[in-house]
Amino acid sequence: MQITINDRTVQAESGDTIYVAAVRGGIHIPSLCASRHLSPYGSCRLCLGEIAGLAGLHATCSMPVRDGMVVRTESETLARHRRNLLELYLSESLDPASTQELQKLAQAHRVTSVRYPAGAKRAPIRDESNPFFMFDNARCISCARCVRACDEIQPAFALSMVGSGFAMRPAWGRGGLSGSSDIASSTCVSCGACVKECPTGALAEKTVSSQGPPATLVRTTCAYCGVGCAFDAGVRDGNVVQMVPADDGPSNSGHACLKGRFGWTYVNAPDRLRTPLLRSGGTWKPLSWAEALDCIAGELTRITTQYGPDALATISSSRGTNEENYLFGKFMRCVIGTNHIDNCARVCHSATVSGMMETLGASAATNSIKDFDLAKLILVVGANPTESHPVLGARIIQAHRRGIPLIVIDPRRTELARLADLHLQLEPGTNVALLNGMGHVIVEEGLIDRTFTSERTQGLEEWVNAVADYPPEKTERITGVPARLIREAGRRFASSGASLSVHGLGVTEHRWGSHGVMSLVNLALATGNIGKPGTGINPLRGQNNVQGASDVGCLPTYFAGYQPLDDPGLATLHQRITGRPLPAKRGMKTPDMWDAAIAGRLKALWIIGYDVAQTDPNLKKVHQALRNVEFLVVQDLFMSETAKLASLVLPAASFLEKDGTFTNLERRIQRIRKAVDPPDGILPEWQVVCEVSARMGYPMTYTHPSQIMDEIAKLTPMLAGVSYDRLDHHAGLQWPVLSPTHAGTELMHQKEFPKGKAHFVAVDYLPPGETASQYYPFILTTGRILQHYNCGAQTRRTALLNVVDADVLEMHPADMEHLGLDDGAIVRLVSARGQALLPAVKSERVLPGHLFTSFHFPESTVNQLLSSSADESSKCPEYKVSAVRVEPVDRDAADHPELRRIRRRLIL
Amino acid sequence: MSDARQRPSSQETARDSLPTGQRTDLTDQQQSVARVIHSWHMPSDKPNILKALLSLQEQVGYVPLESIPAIAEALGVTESDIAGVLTYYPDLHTHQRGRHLIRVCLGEACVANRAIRLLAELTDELRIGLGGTTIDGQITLERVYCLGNCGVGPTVMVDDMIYGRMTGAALRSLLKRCQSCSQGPAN
Amino acid sequence: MATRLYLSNDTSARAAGADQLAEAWSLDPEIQMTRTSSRGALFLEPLVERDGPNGRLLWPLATPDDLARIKAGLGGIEISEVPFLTRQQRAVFAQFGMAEPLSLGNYRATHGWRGIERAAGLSPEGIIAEMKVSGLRGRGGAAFPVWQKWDIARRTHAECKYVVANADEGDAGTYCDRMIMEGEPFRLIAGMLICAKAIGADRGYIYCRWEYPAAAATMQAAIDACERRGLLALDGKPFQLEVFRGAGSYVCGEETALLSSLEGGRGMVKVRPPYPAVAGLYGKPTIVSNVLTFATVTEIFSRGAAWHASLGTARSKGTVALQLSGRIKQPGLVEIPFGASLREVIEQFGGGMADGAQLKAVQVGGPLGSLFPASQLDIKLCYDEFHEAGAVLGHGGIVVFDHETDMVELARHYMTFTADESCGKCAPCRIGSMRGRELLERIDNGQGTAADLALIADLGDTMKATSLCAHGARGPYPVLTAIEHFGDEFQQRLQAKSGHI
Ligand SMILES: Nc1nc2c(c(=O)[nH]1)N[C@H]1C(S)=C(S)[C@@H](COP(=O)(O)OP(=O)(O)OC[C@H]3O[C@@H](n4cnc5c(=O)[nH]c(N)nc54)[C@H](O)[C@@H]3O)O[C@H]1N2
Ligand SMILES: Nc1nc2c(c(=O)[nH]1)N[C@H]1C(S)=C(S)[C@@H](COP(=O)(O)OP(=O)(O)OC[C@H]3O[C@@H](n4cnc5c(=O)[nH]c(N)nc54)[C@H](O)[C@@H]3O)O[C@H]1N2
Ligand SMILES: Cc1cc2nc3c(=O)[nH]c(=O)nc-3n(C[C@H](O)[C@H](O)[C@H](O)COP(=O)(O)O)c2cc1C
Ligand code: SF4
Ligand code: SF4
Ligand code: SF4
Ligand code: SF4
Ligand code: SF4
Ligand code: FES
Ligand code: FES
Ligand SMILES: [Mo]
Repeated sequence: MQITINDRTVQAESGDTIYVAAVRGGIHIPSLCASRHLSPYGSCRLCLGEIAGLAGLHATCSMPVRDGMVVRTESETLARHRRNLLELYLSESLDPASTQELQKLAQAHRVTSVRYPAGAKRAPIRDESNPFFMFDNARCISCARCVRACDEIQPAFALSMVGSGFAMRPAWGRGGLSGSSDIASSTCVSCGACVKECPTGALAEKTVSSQGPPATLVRTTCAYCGVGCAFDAGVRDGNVVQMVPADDGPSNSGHACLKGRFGWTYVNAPDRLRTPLLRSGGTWKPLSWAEALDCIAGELTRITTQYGPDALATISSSRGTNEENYLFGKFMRCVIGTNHIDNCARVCHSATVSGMMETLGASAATNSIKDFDLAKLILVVGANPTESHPVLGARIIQAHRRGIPLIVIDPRRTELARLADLHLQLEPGTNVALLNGMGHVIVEEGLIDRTFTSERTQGLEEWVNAVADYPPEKTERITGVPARLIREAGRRFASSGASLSVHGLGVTEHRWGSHGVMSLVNLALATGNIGKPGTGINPLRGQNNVQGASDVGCLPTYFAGYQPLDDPGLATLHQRITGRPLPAKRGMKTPDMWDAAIAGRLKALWIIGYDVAQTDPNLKKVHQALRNVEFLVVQDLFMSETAKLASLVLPAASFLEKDGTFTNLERRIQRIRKAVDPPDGILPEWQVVCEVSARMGYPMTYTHPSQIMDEIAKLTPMLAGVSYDRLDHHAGLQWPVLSPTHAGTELMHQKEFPKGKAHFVAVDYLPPGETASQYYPFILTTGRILQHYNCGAQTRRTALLNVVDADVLEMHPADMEHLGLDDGAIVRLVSARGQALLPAVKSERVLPGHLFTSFHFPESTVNQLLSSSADESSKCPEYKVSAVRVEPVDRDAADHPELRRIRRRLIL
Repeated sequence: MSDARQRPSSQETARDSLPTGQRTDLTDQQQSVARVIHSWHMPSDKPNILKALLSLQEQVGYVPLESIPAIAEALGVTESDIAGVLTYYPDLHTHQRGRHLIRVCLGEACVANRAIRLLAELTDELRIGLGGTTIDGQITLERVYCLGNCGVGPTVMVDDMIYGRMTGAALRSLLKRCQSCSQGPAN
Repeated sequence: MATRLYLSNDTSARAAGADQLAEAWSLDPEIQMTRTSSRGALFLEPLVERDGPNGRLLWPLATPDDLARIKAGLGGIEISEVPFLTRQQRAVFAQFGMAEPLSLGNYRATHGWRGIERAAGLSPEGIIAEMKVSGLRGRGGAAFPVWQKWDIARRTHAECKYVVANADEGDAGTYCDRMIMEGEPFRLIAGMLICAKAIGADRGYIYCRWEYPAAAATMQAAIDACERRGLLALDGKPFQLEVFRGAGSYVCGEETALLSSLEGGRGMVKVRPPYPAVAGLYGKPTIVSNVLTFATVTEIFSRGAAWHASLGTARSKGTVALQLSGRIKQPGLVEIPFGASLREVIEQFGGGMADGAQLKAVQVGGPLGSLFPASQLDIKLCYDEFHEAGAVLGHGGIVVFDHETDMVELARHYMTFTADESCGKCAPCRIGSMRGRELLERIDNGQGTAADLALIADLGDTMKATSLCAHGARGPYPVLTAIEHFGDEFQQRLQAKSGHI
């Protein structure tokens, strides 16, 4: 429809407000309380307009359009009222620097003085209890954008407007009851949405208040998790001072979580690696870059010549860019001549890759993030998105608040489990039984989508036979989930009309992880919940570029684009473009590398941005392997646990200091852009590869990562249409992007699967690698918490440490009581492999007999407890099930250095 | 669910409805809080913060700040949600007020009939301002905008009783009764 | 033989001493006391009645000592001797003063249930058509045509809908809603049921301000009584009705704020659209109407829409319930058809000014209404003339101020009210009312300047034009009309005291 604003015709859609239509049409209407992310509120009254045929003035931010409407937002009367309103705002502010939007508007309207005699002022309340941002009531105009942001975007309900009339203001937590504000006591998760919405600077990042607002903005992508939030990095005087989530970010639409928003300050950490270091005896000797590169090239040449290419391996970084990862792969294949390259997808979603490859023939999220808005039911299996993928977590809560049913399958009562319509709280390691049990109900109740299964799948009968063995009552005995809930979940999943499932490590990191993925895919196939909007199998890929690292070929079993290594066509193409043959023999997966190192077959190992010495399972074995290789290169931002064992350490450039691309969990390739220079001339990884390669007789002549992407596109059909030109002009591209004119793929498998028809793969429940025993009576599950990231190297070097500074052991209160433990007591966890010291905390998130801890702090040595047990086909480790025993430790008596510094803050 | 049913109708039934095993080491006030919180069995309804706070105030006389975490927990809302509601309404209180509550109507009809003068007499007599409580804790003075008694104003409300056609003399005798009386109003 | 006496149980009767009479006489075995609703002739309260040969005999302003006289039948007057009552054209309040409020039997005997019985036989569309013919406009203040609102709610599809009675009656100087709830609670219930049937609602709430404890208790008892008799039902399905108590916020009378409050949150105003009839309580279609509106609906279905349409003026149909108070001889409730002049009402019903008082100003429509000087009392009491005058009838409150009233102090008082009761949502009202109040305090204290007066006018203009709800938009009216009509007093205050400084 069309409306007329200030004599200009503007296109509008039904449901728009006048204000929204105006903004879209490029017409500026003064406003302070409106935001495209929030529902209309009508507080500032600046957006008023005259509407033909209606008496009085109307707030355009809350007035819906009607076809043919004629609106005027500029007139002498309106200008006078606006001046009066702005004067009122200025009259209440204690702080002349009540900045930003308000000052701009006041200046634009030439409101320079206040006619009112000095009167009541805003209460001088400052709240600095949050580590990242502060609130200053003296600058506030009580527009409630912060409150609405918290309620509507994050759903955390951490603050509320308090009081009424003139004294009304925002307050966090219980602060409003005592005339103060107390962010620290509130349910705030520091997502920053309120700060972003604030039009006056009453809420401001501490970095900005101390260093000043940014002078330039650089669009980039968050380098923590797989959501891939788009940000504008605000730069001032060569320093980043602010990271603001971009409104047009395709996966975050202006939202973010605390890690991306505030957890980037590690780039300025004092202990960042700045120069290459060579181990010499017990100490480190700084090297120049030239010396370091010579040394690497020399050693790798020596070892290749001496032991052959199979004595070398690389573990590349899922934290790095696609271009870097591709280059490391190319280096191993073209310069060394081996496929011994892996990345940390191995320990993460490798089971998803094998499970989805076998059933569907493609191993990435079938749908897109926007499908969360289209789903009619959301099933969350073994994932904890409100902590691990917070922007998606918020989106799921938003959907749930709209009335979309939510089913959560998780042994723990996570935040989503608490909200869920159904929480299936299963025994760890029993996914296959439970999902088969739901399948049983679907078969039994005739809920199979026969049209879909007959047209698009094969193997249904086998699956039907397999699930016949899992009547809900029997399934209940295996999983501990009441049969009633299994029935209800099966029914609802099958009959919602569009059931979208997301899954995480609670499915993959198991002895039978691939089977878990396959049984989940089977359910989606049987009910036709794939290939359609609002449905699908959507692995919540973990690291910022774990999807991309595998996509571009950092895998021992596939080349880029998951192309088989023995494909003759590919071999020819590879030879033509790289001038070198593609080794056809499959390489070693990471755990194979440990075995090879211990056996003395692996002599040189290059590890980039992956702290295996902290995060891989069965740490004793990993350490032994690392010590055993002759030449270990580690390239990292910090002296990680792994770097400490290296022969040579190279500093790395952070994501704010280089160009490249990441691929997020919806297959979206997005740019990162250099915002500042790396300190002390640190070379970005892609240049390191080029330099080493050149020194080893194979020059790589790229001058910019875009040229690397061009090469990837040539070699990889599913990325054939990707180029920096396109990435710069689009909100990224979702693969497959089959040609330079192909738009990319939001929704996969609409008509056909890569395999043609999708395959049901009937799988049976098999018990996990370990079960509780007399000696080890507890089942330990490990995973993430919101505030820290994986090995913690980055997040521990930011103010996130003020929020959480220790891993804790969550234990059910009944177990605590049984063992006579007080909240916060230090315990020793003992498994057949090793031990760990942790403070135990009462938690009803876990069931009796279960334990949970995170693994973000090296001193907790959690991964010493875990075994090398792994999924058979993918080698994804069984991080989620270990049998342990809990021993109380006398804090005073025990002579352990760590105990003395444990633990300032315990938080759940 | 109606207000009346939601609220235990007397102390007796309220006590009957205590969960078994209710801890007895609590103060009276804590008991009341626990009891009232226990009586909100509205799982199917959206949590109604105002209603919960009003029923607590009815039992305890005010909403003790210490009870907020328990209320939040029972209702499944955050403490800031409760702070928002609790600070919005003039008739919700977080502190014990005087034993007796005198509310002077300052609606226009009463103002037309010299209510402001009446109020001045009261503040002089009691030596407290609006919202204040006498030092002996006996009387709290508040204003109210209209009690719907405009036809026989000026109007003063003492505890639960409404008095019309108030004069200075009548007010002083009411005051005297309040000041000399040692018991609180019913409840 | 025992004597049956009738004594109102209405809050105002009790505030005037009715309970003392009842208590004093309770020990007399010869007296049987029936507590009734109030006739609304509040200047006569406490008013004792007994049956006489030509209907009731009345003993106004009774004291405990009057018992002997009353028993003897001495000194009682007949209703025909009270022009305040006989001149009225009562419809909604026709039975007031007669019956026991909580006697369903009484209520039905006076045909109180007839309206709902008639509506039961009609379709929802039929009910709305009837409402359209009646011409009823909402009595809560905004005077929106009732049928239109109902029709929108009826047409909006939803699995559940609500009917809410606005019993917040926040305007000072008004009390007819309270009288209805205390005096004829079944009338409100009946009106709500008819509305529920028309829109397809199965739940209702009566949002009653805390200042009305007796009204809330009576309503609750009436609901219980109906429930016991199975009368709270629509087409065989139960209709759930609940009384909800407010907590002292004036703005909670505004419909969107009321609904937020009813949901248990902060009772702040919300932007419209969506209107409650489309998305109200819990986001579901909701009719919020004033108590008197529902009470009138009952009467319309009892007497027929044509009856209602035949009363009043062209666009103000039916009767208006005026509530008189202030410095007049005869404060009380007056129900007459729309169209009488303000002067007629004050003189004929109000009985003129109280002894020794001279009329200075009349406030119509509560704190959001306007002040009229003695010279402007010929305005007709109907929506249109008031609208043209930039004034509102509001909820029908009429407060008469006398010559001793200090208009500056009064203006300051009004602005203080606006500031005190502002919900705080929108800037013009949240900040403007505070600044307005400060300016008027200055002037009242003799420190004001002419510029301050001009600033009040400028501010008032912006508040009127830009506020989100009528609290801020109409809050300045009493002040601005006071300045308009009694400007000298303000000027004098500036001049008189600025000399001091
Ligand atoms: N804040 C934060 N965010 C992160 C990370 C981080 O370290 N911190 N890491 C990133 C990375 S690398 C990854 S891979 C992702 C991982 O993200 P998630 O997949 O959410 O990871 P986890 O927390 O390890 O495990 C998810 C859930 O699996 C449950 N679970 C355990 N055993 C079972 C089981 O047998 N069955 C089922 N159904 N559930 C089970 C656990 O209780 C846990 O709630 O997060 C990414 N995002
Ligand atoms: N107990 C237990 N252990 C687990 C898991 C579990 O659930 N439980 N989950 C596993 C999973 S899923 C994963 S993915 C792993 C993750 O474990 P890791 O990959 O070891 O951890 P990260 O913190 O993601 O990053 C590793 C290193 O990369 C560095 N880094 C960051 N950015 C860059 C860069 O741009 N360049 C370079 N060169 N380095 C960079 C960081 O400084 C850090 O030292 O942990 C696994 N370990
Ligand atoms: C500040 C403010 C206070 C109000 N107070 C009341 C009130 O106490 N009672 C009432 O019925 N309507 C009140 N209203 C009007 C209501 O918003 C609404 O228009 C009315 O309840 C609708 O019912 P009706 O159509 O029967 O008039 C108020 C409006 C405003 C702006
Ligand atoms: S940072 Fe996020 S969670 Fe915290 S108050 Fe602001 S919006 Fe709410
Ligand atoms: S803090 Fe900012 S967003 Fe929140 S009410 Fe104040 S001005 Fe508005
Ligand atoms: S959700 Fe993930 S991508 Fe987004 S800001 Fe947080 S860590 Fe970064
Ligand atoms: S009689 Fe009772 S309620 Fe009344 S003033 Fe005395 S103590 Fe208070
Ligand atoms: S005008 Fe006043 S009462 Fe109405 S919404 Fe604005 S602030 Fe609230
Ligand atoms: S932007 Fe419309 S009222 Fe503030
Ligand atoms: S104005 Fe005082 S009772 Fe109404
Ligand atoms: Mo991961």
